[in-house]
Amino acid sequence: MTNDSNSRSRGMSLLELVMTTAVIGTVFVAFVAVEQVTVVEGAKRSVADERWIQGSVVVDEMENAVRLAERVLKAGDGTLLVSTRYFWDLDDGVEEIYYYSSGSSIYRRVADEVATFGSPELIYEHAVSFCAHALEIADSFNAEDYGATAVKTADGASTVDTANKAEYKVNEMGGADQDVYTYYDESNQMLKLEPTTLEPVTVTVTPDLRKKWLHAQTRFRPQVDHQEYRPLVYGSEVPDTTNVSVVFGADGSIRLRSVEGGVLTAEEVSTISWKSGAEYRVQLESEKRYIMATLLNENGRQHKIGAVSSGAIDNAKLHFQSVTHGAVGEWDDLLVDYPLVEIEFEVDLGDSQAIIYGGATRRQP
Amino acid sequence: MKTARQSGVTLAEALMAIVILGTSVVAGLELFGYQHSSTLGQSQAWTAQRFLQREYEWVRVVPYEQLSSSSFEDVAEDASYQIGQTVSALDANSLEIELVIRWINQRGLVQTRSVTTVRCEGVGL
Repeated sequence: MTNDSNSRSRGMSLLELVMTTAVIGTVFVAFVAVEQVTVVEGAKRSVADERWIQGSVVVDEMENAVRLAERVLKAGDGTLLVSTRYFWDLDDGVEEIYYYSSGSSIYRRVADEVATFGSPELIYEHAVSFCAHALEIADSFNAEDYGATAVKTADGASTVDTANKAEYKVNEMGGADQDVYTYYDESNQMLKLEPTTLEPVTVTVTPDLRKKWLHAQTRFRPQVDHQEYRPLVYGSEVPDTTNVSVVFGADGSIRLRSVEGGVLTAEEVSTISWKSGAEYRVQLESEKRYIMATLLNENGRQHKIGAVSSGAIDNAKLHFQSVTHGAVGEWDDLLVDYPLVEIEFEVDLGDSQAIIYGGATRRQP
Repeated sequence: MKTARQSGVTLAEALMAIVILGTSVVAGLELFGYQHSSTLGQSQAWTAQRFLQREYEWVRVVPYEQLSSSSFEDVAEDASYQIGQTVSALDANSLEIELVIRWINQRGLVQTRSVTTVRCEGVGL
């Protein structure tokens, strides 16, 4: 009896049972809630990871297309167009691969040895934005590059600049001075300089580029002795007062000069002199801290003029000028080349967004 | 008195039960937090790998004579990552380049990834 009595008294009262049940129930509910949150968050993470990985695959594909590209024909917001012989198939034919965005989708279209593109293929569905930064402008001043509307007229009439490579704006020949003009010589396919004042020809390239190895080159033929030419000027927002330029001096010298705020800060003098009518290829390469100048003369011999500090030059915008001081000359084949195609691909991960950065260099010769 | 103690749950038992159940709940929450942290860490590593690969592409095209060591510098798009490079001569005509990217993870620890390549003078890109 005593044992039975003790056993019963050890049990819970109704109140205790209710309270215990409530506590256990609360803990159970808490567990379920935690599990639910974990499952939901896990599912979200899973979706986000999947979208990230798929986005990375798309960027990988674009990078590969760039690496195997002969040329990057277009790059910009929502656009990347390359021509290649090896990316799409292994035959020798040239194909064009076109990536573009429409809404939140990214499509690929291929023109395989035909003039028209095939049907668009959806390759990504959760894009926020996509931008390819590239720079490869006007390797030659020909009608194909500039289009008829860009031909400059002798009276300096304003025309629409339509350089269409890589969708970079190329603005030539600003200048209030109407006595100065540059025009496109159809027969020789080059720009003629016939100025009477010092107004520069300026090419402005946007958007911003990273300040690392930009390569600019032009072919230049000074026509008259004892005049000063600056066939290639790499300048800042104020290129007249802050710039690095190659100068064909009136004394026959060829110099690389760095000017900051109108003050000459560095100068390297070439060991060779220039001759009227000879053709020179002038090349500027910007490294992070220096700009180097190289000259190729008509015999193909290379002369390194030297290197100067890039100083205060702002790489956000690049200005290229050809300045002739009261002389005539020919300026041709401006090539501004930035070897890397950078890709920014912003993807929607569900609750958040992320940018996948990519970059590739063209390797197909 | 004895009978009163024998009926129902003692304070010690109740506390122990609460501790055990509480530990389980906390463990569950910790696990969730760890998963979240781990995922963030993975995202950081992926992003770092992307930046490192892009820098490697640069190293392939920069003129040979311009290759030189540089200390860590912020990545232009995201200053929480820094990239540096060490260039050392293997012989008269070749250089070994090691690129390193570093960042600080969610736990405040420095993380790094690196890649090493070789460039030879006069050899095409």
